[in-house]
Order: sequence, then structure tokens, then C-alpha cells
Amino acid sequence: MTRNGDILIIGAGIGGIQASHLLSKAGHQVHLVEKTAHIGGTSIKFEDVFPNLECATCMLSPLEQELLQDPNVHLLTLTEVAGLEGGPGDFTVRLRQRARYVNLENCIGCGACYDACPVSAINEFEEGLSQRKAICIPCAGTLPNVPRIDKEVCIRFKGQECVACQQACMFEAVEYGQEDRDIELKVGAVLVAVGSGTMDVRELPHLSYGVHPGVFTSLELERLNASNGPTEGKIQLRDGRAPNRVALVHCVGRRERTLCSGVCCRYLLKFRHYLRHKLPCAEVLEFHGDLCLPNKGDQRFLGEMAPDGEGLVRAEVVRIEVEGDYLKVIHRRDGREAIETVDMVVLSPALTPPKGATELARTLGVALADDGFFVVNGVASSRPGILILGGASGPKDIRETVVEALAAAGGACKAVMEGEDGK
Amino acid sequence: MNARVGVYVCECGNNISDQVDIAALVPMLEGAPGVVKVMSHRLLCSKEGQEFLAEEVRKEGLTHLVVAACSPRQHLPTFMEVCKRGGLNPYLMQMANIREQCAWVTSDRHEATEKAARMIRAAIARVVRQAPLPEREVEANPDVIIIGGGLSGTVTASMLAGPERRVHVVDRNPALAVALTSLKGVETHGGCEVEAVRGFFGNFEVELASKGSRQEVRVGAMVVCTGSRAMTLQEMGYPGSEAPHVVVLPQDPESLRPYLDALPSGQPKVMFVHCAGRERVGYCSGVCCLRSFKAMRWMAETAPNAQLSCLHQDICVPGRDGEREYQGILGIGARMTWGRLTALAQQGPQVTVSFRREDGSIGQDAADLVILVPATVPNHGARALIDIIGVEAGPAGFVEEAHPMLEPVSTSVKGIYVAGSASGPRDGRATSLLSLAAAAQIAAELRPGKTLRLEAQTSQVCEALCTGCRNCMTVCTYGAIEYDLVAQTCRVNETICRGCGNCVAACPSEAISVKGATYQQILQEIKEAVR
Repeated sequence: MTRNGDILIIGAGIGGIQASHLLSKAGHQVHLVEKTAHIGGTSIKFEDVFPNLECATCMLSPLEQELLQDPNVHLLTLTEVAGLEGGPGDFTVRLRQRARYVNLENCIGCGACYDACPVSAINEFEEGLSQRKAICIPCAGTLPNVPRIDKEVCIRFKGQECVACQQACMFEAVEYGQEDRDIELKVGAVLVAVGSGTMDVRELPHLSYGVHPGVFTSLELERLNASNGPTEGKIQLRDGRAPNRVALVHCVGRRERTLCSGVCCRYLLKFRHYLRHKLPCAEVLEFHGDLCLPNKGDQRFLGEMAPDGEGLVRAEVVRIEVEGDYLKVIHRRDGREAIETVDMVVLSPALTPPKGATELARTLGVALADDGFFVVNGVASSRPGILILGGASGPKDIRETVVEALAAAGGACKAVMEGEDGK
Repeated sequence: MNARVGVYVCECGNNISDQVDIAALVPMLEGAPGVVKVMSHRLLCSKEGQEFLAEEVRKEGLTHLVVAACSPRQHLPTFMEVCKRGGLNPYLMQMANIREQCAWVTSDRHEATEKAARMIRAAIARVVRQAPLPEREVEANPDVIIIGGGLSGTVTASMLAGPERRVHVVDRNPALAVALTSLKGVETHGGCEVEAVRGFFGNFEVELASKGSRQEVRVGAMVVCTGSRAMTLQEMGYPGSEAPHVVVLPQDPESLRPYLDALPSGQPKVMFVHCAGRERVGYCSGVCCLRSFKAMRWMAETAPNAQLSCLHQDICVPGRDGEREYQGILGIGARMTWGRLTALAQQGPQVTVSFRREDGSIGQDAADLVILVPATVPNHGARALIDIIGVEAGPAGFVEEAHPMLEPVSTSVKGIYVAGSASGPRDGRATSLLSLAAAAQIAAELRPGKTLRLEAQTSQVCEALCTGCRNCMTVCTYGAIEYDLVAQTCRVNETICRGCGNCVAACPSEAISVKGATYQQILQEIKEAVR
């Protein structure tokens, strides 16, 4: 029998993108499946990336653009895997694609429809820091530069006769008649590149997240600093004031999850760079435990951001109390409790297994470990022909994710070929 | 032949036409030198627009094409394809970005129209000076040479060797692992070193030397798998490190057995000292804390009466296993102290360990056995090899990746890859993954029976202007420039050149230019823009 050389990749973050490029170069047809309406994953939320403070958008968008123009890559957005049967070289995969209600070929991404839309909803991509329309892209620069209609909030899908977006479109791209569809594909191997999640810091009520508006998560700060974000790069409190004294809290959830996420020390140092640049007068205090800075350039960067240990407080944050507009960071240092008063707190939550990992593992028939991450041996899952890369099998930085993406892409080629030898 | 330039202005729906008066713009461009046709279109990137444009190129017999539309970042490849379909060399097309750089950023409609006209005239002035550039390909040898026969070399070789690809593995060590020598399609060269490398991606000639004999191997790609090693006591340079009861943590803790046997009876004190040599190397090796904890656990099981302690700095155990191992060590009651090792001294049967705490104060402790957990450094000979093959190295002497995140197994030289701990300290898992990644990248980029596509827009040296100063050679990161001893001028190897333009900027005589972006082309373009 002939073996199928096509590869299914689940997740179009940096791992899925780099694996797609490699497999395309190697001559394979790639079906790249993405749950959301856009590609780029978590990395596109960052303004700069470690270790050289390179502009993340400038680094990623050429790769994304190339992907969209690659005839070997078949991108399926708004799509999830519903079922999988077979084995290496001969899988049958069932996909469910939700309707975008915008024609991908006709739309040029001019954005005329957003202005026309009367609906306003919370923008999840911006960590809830801004509003979006029912027809929208998550933020400027996301690709493909084609909006989608969010059926959950669009008033037309709630029975009203609104055609505002369709009328605003000059290219007849808005198609209310589109329907969700089921797709069946034959592939030789499957790559899982769904990334990780972050811990919900509300699980740790003593840190006052959601209680006081001055407490932020790290992803919220990333978006506040992003030039394409909700404040166009202004780091500010939820009421628009600039913070004067900022506490960066390391290792949030580390003990609860028995896990050092390995990326937080580095991005918190990067935040110091953001803050120094945007708010030169603000004082920054970093409450940290063991600093995990093993990569090239990390120690040098620590020296630049915290010369002579400036702003570093080796202490465990016991709790954060609200005092009017201010926040009291109660911390234990050398066995004694002390207090620092600040007006902004940034928490660095532990990385967790990706949302929906349990269902996905069941659908694919692969094993999850006790901690909820995918079980791997290298990049191999518990089922032949299915490979796991990046944050799905434990916290990873971009570099580690890309290494695993390349390794998994190689493994997929091999899985397809070995299936051939076996028959 | 006279130039026949076609100018096509895209309205981009209303994106351009809202701000630029297309009806006024078209006549402003007619009559420009060489222009035979000016036309606007609603959306040139659409399927219909592309077909229209390709047909126009054919029908009008155009020799050059100007597309006034959006950013080339978005649609340059699209319109280059259109040229090919219309039978025009794609390098005879120029885009004028009148959307992002004009319509979207110019508030006054009259000004925007004037600006668009200037941008398009500039593009016309440039395009007529452009020359067709051929698409070039070169035959490639699919074979690969791997330098280093350790874990990374073995994994990389086993992934790459096959009926269509021969893999050579070189190692200074004459005895290579059976895992390697028994691999089908792998030729091992034990006891050999790389003496010289010539050529480029797809066609390298590698000269190998062993005692008294020389050999040349022809390959398409190289992989640096030279690995890393533990820093030695001498290199760490701590005073008193020659003390007999001081030892560097070996790869396999079993090797510590003789030291355990020599411990005094009762409850001997064993101290693990982290970050040994860290100040000297200037980085955290990242793999040692976990290795130390595993050794401490082994020690607790093997010598249960020993009192374990650990002098450490910040514990670095990222990932799923590390934290559990750390908690496990705390669980067995090891005494943990934060401190930087400053000196060692054998005093009677014990070793005194001096250290500096984070607040600067000095502390002391004593143990019957001190195990230094060493920094990881590049292997012996790596530096010399790096110089021979011409890849870039970081300050610590590890091979530098082409991009620290996106190209983790490529180097500054196209066709030379790096795997395992040759590019930085790694544990076993990371070493294997990097090796699989390097093998996958080579398998995709150097496919047996496939030719390699070369850059069309390469640099060229005008020999009449070249003074032979060789500035260009120092800035070329690809090693694409050669010096001709006879002519005493520089020459670009167009198979290697990637058209970055570094050499153009470095040349004091304006003797070098990049094809498709010459001084004349750019000068005329600017003149027209500011006329």
C-alpha cells in the first residue's frame, strides 16, 4: 500500500509554524490546523523577546507571511480535531471547522467592517484590557489579516437584521451564509503544537488579583507594553494613571505546581527594561527566589537590568493586601516579615498544560502525565506517528520550542517512511 | 531595444483611492520616459487582477513593469509571479508603495496624490535601469560530514545515513563507539582532525589529517558535534583546590565510589559545591543543579550515613523534573547554604570551604569530602575547529547559532550546522533533540537529487575600481569574497553570496554593488523622488 506523506500539525504558534516550514521544504504537504482565527500563538503577544530584545513582530511576521503564501501549507483556522484513526503513514483525521463568515480570498483586510459594527465585546486576545467588535481581528498585525464574525456576540446571529459589516465591505467578503463544516483528511503523521497555558492567578486569592485593579498578570503587562496593544504601548494602571512603584513577583504558583516554569525570570528582567524605557521615574522591586537564568546572555542582561542587585529583593511574597489605591506587598526575608507599598503588582504565573489538553489527548489517543502535560520521550508521544512539541509537554521558551519543532518534523518524516518499511 | 514601461496603479478597493486622486494621478504619469501605458485597477492582487496584469505584460510587449500598490513586504512575491506568467523577468518589475507610505499616512488628498506621483516616477526611473537576473541553481552533494562522534554526532548520523546519503563521522579519538561504526551508510574517520574546508553549501571539500596521512572528503553539509566538557580544577583556579579530598563531580556518580570508600567511619560530611568556575566563565551552565541533585540522591542511597550539605547559588532547575528533584533533596535533609565558593584548604582530615554570602559576609564550613559541581565549557579543540571552518563563536567559545531562537541548529555559514552541546551547555535530552533537529533541517535543505536555488541579487565587484584593500572580506559573514592574488582585486563567489550588501557599504572605492540595487539605480530613483 502507498503511505501518506501528508502531515497534520495541530497549533499554529511558533512551533507549528517552524515545523510547517521545515516539512514544506522537505517536500511534504502540511495541513496546519489552528483553533483560533489567526496564527502566531502566544509569541505574537510580545513586544520584544529575550535575550536580545528583538522585536517579536519583526521576527515573526515574515515567517507568518511566508507560511500564508506557501503552496505546500494548507492552513485551516477556526478548526479543531474531532477524531483520529489509523497508524503511522495511514491516519484518518476528522476536523471540525467553524465558519468565519468572511471570505478569505475576497477580503483584503482593510478593516472597514470593524468601524461599522455596532457591537462591543471584551477582547480576550488583549487579556480583557480592551474592547473589540463582533467582526474583528484580535489586534493590528495578526495574520491572516482577515476578520471573523464572533457568532456569540454578533446581534445578527441573535436574530436582529443587522447587515452593517456587509454593507461596509467593498469586496463582498462578508458571507452570513457560511456554515461550520466537517473535514476528513488522510495524513501520515501528526504533530501536536498546542503550546501551554498559564495558571489562573485567582487560584491564589492571597495575591489579590481581581480584587484590586493594580494587580496584573505578566501577559497583561506584555499587552500594555505592546505598540499594537490596548494602550498603544503605554504602561498604565487600569484607571489610566502611570504607576510610581511597581512590584514584580516571581514564582507565582511554583510551589503549588511543583514546577519552575523556566521563562519567568527572563521575561521579568525584560519587563524591567520595558519599565525603565517607558516609565523612567518608576521604582521597580523584584521579589524573587532562585533566579533561573541559564541561557546565553542571561547573566549579562541581569547585570544590565539590576546593576549591583538594584531592585532585587530575595524574599517570598506572603500576601498582597489592599490599602486604598495602594497595595501592600507582605514578604518574608531572612525569616522576618516586611512590607513594601506599591501601586502596581505584576504576577508571573506558572505555565500549565494547555487548555483542553485532556480532551485533545483523548481524541488523539495519547497519554497525559499526572501533572496534565503530554507524556513524551524526546518528542515522541505514547502513540506511534504522533509527536508532541513545545509547551504541550512542559514549559518551554521560544528557542526550545523551535528545536523541538524541527526535531518533531524530522520524526514525522521518519514515521511516514518507517510505516512504509514495515509493510 | 527601446524600453516599454507599463505602470499599473492599484486602488486597493478604496484604501488608496480614498486618499489618492487616481483620475488626476494617471495623466501625471503619462509621458514619463519609456512609459507606454498607465492604467488603474480596483485590486491588482485579486485573482482577476493578477490575470489582467499578466495579460497586459504579454499584450503590450512590456519590457519593464511598475506596480503602484501596497508594501512589497505583502505582495512582492505575488507580483514577481505575475511577471513570470507574463513572460517578463521578475527583476524588471518595481513596486511603489503608495498605500502604507502614502495613502495611509498623508492626510491631505492633494498632497497624497502629488506624493504618489513622485513615488511612481521614482520607481519608473529605477526600473528602466534594472537588468534581468537569471534564476540560478547548483548541483548539490547530499553527503554530510559530522565532526565529533559523541552522543550528538551519533544521533545526527543515525538520522541522516541512508541509501541516498553517505555520512562521514570524524573524531580525534581513534576508537569510535560501536553504535557509530556499525551504522549502515556511515563511514567513520577515527583519529582524524579537520585541517581545512573549501567550498560552500552543497559542495564542500573537507581535508582530514591523521598521523602522517591526509584525506579529502566531499560533502554537501557539515555538522559541528564537538560537545562540551567539565571545567577542570586548574581552570577554576580556587586557592587550595589541589587538596586531596576535593573532587570534580564526574559524569557518572559511580566514579565517586573510591572516594566514598575512603571516607572516615561514623557520619562523614560530604559537601556539594555548586557553580564551581561560574565566575570565571561568566554564565550559568543551567544543567548542573539537576545533575548535582541526582548525584546527591545517589549519595544518600549509597552512603546513607553521610551528612549531605550543599553550598549553592541560585538553584536553576527549569522544567517538569527539576523542581521535584529539588524538593526531594530538601526532603532527605541535605543542609542548603547560599554562598559563592572563594577558597578551599585541607586542614587535617577535613577540607575547609570558604564562601561569600549574598550580603558580602564571609562564611566557612568543613567537610570530609568536597565535590565541586563544575561549569560546562566547550570541548578541547573546538576553538581551533571554529577558526578552520569559519563559523562565528560566542564569547565563551561555543558555536553561535544563526539566530538564537529561530535557527537554533544553523550557524553563520550556510551549510554548516551545529548540534548538541557544541552551541552551549545541554543535558542529554536537549542534546538529542538538537541532534534530531539538525538532522531534520539538513534532510529538508539538502535533498538527494535536488538542486539548490541560489540568490539572484548577489554582489559584484568592478575590477577597474577595486583597489584590493579587502575591507569587504572582513565584513562578509558568508565568506563569499575571495582575493585574486594575480589581479590584486577582490571577487565575489556568486554561489555563496546572499546579497546582504555589507560589502557595498564597506567598499571605499564604490567598486561593489548588489545587482538590482546599484548606485545608479538608487541615485536615479532618489533624484526623481525629490525633483
